[in-house]
Order: sequence, then structure tokens, then C-alpha cells
Amino acid sequence: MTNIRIRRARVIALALISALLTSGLAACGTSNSGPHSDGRTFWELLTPRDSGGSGAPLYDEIGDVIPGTSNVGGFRPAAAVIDGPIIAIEPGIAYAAGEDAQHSVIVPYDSADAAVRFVKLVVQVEKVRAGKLTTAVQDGKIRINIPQPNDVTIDQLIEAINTAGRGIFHVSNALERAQATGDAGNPEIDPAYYSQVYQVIGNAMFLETSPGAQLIHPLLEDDEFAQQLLQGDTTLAEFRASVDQIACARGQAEDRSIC
Amino acid sequence: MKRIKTRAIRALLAILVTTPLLVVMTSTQPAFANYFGNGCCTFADNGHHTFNWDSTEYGTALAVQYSMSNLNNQTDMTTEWVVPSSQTDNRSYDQHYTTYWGLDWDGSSTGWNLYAYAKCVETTLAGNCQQWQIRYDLADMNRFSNYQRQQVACHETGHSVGLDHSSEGASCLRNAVLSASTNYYTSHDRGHINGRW
Repeated sequence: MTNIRIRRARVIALALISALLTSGLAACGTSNSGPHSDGRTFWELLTPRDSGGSGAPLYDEIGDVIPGTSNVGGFRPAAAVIDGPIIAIEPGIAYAAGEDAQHSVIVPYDSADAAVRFVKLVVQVEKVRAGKLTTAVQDGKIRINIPQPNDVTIDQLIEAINTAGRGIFHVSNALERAQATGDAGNPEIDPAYYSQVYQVIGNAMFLETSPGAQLIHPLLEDDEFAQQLLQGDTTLAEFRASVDQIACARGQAEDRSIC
Repeated sequence: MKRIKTRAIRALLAILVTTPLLVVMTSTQPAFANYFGNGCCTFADNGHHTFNWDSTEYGTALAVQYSMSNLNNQTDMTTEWVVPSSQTDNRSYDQHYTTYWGLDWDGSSTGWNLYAYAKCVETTLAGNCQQWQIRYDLADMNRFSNYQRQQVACHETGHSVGLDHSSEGASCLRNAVLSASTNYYTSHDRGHINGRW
């Protein structure tokens, strides 16, 4: 009787070990998702881990950001909607921690005093889908200013650039935008830097990290709001068609043959 | 021989039954609410959270004071107002911010009107946050009711202990904070905090 119990216990123990090994392997399979050395993709690296804000959206639909619409509650649309891959990343601008003041101080990008840093996404413009790129286009590329978490280095981002993907960006030149919104005189707006970079208007940047993959929206933290803008589009091809439809209806499509 | 066969069948059955069960047990996630420490915001450096709001106007100061008491009352963390130093965990400021830190405070370009923003400006060697600077925009704070200011302060203080935005409508960590139905933390938020401290 005792022998039977021991054998039964062995059988159960074997089964449990087997099950644990199987589930462990399954878990490993889902956690090693990226090709980057520490397992993080480009956009995982750029996800904030040292900041969080609270606020509210000022516009309701993607049409409010596409050129050609009238201002919605003082919110102006982008100057252009562009389509293309992210091909590089470069150091941008930085600001010191500061104390109790209305304005912060610009410091060198690699300064130890920097509390907030930005990097420049280099996007190869394959097509302007709506509006016009007015300035700072070099060899068909524009540079887009976006925030960088402090615990990530530019070298890590460069290493992961192959996972950055491609997408549709609603953009305006940063200096022209600051002039239009009355912010150009502020000390944070360095004219030399701002004239060379673009800003994502409405945080409306929708990307695919592999062909046909589900769209991501790294600058829109509120997923509910992002889905409201996408209106059911889940792929870049679907979203591109929606953008073209609005641009055509407004006479803003750069390439009229798509209308 | 028959016995061996029976045992083999039993073993096989046991594996078939327990394997999927354990896979489910190890992979099933609770309904998503928010991340803690590994989302937007790193952990606080310890369970005693110190505050200073000397650099804020009266309305903001009252709201931050509320958020300190709320954290103390709702969770296992302890809180204290202190004279400001580089060790202060939660330092609050308010101004009419426009482009502070290169951010678009009124949302005229990003389309997102920023009420307040928490930034970890000092980390420990372990990677936790030594000090959060929390900046409140007076353009919004001055037009808000006391209750709304408390919602915003509760939200930002939540970030300063490691809580990310919440999918729960009742949490002050809700992304569009003023649409939250309360000015405090949910049991899910408290579970995160109390699980650590």
C-alpha cells in the first residue's frame, strides 16, 4: 500500500514538473519580443518611465488635424501630413530641472543638469499626403522633435532603430508653429533649433512596426482617444485611405490623382 | 504488465489535465487597470513620502496637501510635509506655464491641454525616484473647483509613487483626470501601493 502511494506521488510530481516546464517555456516565448540587446524595441525604449501628466484633449477627430480645416476651439491643423519610414535618430534639445520659475533653461543635450531631453526622429518623406512641407526638408528628410526618457541613451535608440517602423505624421515646422501660437518669444524656443525640426500636431503619429501590423500611437497616451481618432482603422493602409479621403474632400491632397 | 499500463495511462492523464491548468494559472492576467513602477513612472525610493508645496499658490497648496493626506489615509505609505531639500520626494510648483521644459502646456500644438506634469529629476542608484518635481499650470488650476484641483493633485501624487494611468473610471489616475468619478485611489491602485510598502 505504501509503495503504491509512493508511486502515485512520483507520478503526480512528474506531471507537475512537466506542466511547470511547459508553462515556463510558454512565458519565455512571450517575453523575448524585441531584437534589441536588452529585449526592448525602439518604441518600448521611448515609452516614458520618469514622467506623467494630466490633461484633456482639445480636438475630437482626425479631420481636425488634417490641413484645410478651420481652427477648432483655437486649435490649428497641421501644415502637412507625411508618409514614410523612420530611418535614424539624433540628439535634440534639453532643459534643466529648474526651480520656481515660469521658464526653464536650455542646457546642452548631454548635460548632467538636464531634466528633460528631446531627440530628433529622422523621417524619409516618401509622400506628402496633404498640405505642404514649408521648410527644413533636407534630401527628402525631415526631423521631428519628440521627448526622450532619461534612463535611455541615444546609443540604445540608434541600436534599436530597425524596429522604429513607418507611418503617417501630422506635422508643422516647430518654429513656424510657435510663431503662429504666440510662443516664439519664450526662452525655451531656441529659433536655431526649432527652425530645423518639425512637431507632431495633435500628437497624431500613427505607425506600423512591420508591414500590415496593428497601428501604434506612441505620442497619444490615451488609447481611448487614439481609437476615437482612428475610427476603426487598424492598419496603416486603412488609415492612409481615411486620411486621403479627407484630404481629397478638402482639396488638400498633394497628389490629386489619388482623389 | 496490466499495472504498468494503468500507471502509464494515469500519468498521461495527470499531465494532460494539469498542464493546461497550470499554463492558464501562470498566464491569466486580471482585467487591466494600470501599471505600477514599470509604466510611466518609476517607484518612489521608500514608503515614507515627503512633500513640499511652498512654491505654490493657495488653491494648489490645499490640493497638494489633500493628496498627501489621502495617500497617508488610503494606503500603507506614510507622508510628511518637510522643509524642501534634494531629498524631498514630491516638490510642487505652479506657474502660468507656456513652454516650460519644451512642453506645450496649453495644447495649442499637441492638442492636449496639460494641467500638470510630474517629472522624476533625481534617481537613486537602484533606479527608483529620489525626487519628483510636479508642476501645476495656473491657467487651469485657477479655473478649477477645489474638487477638480484635488483630482489633479491625487493623479500627480499617484505618479510620484509609481502609479501609471488607469483604465478605471473611478480612479484619480484616469488619463483624462477630470472625467474620473472620484478624487482618490481605487482598491486596485491601493493594492499596488500596499503590495510594495
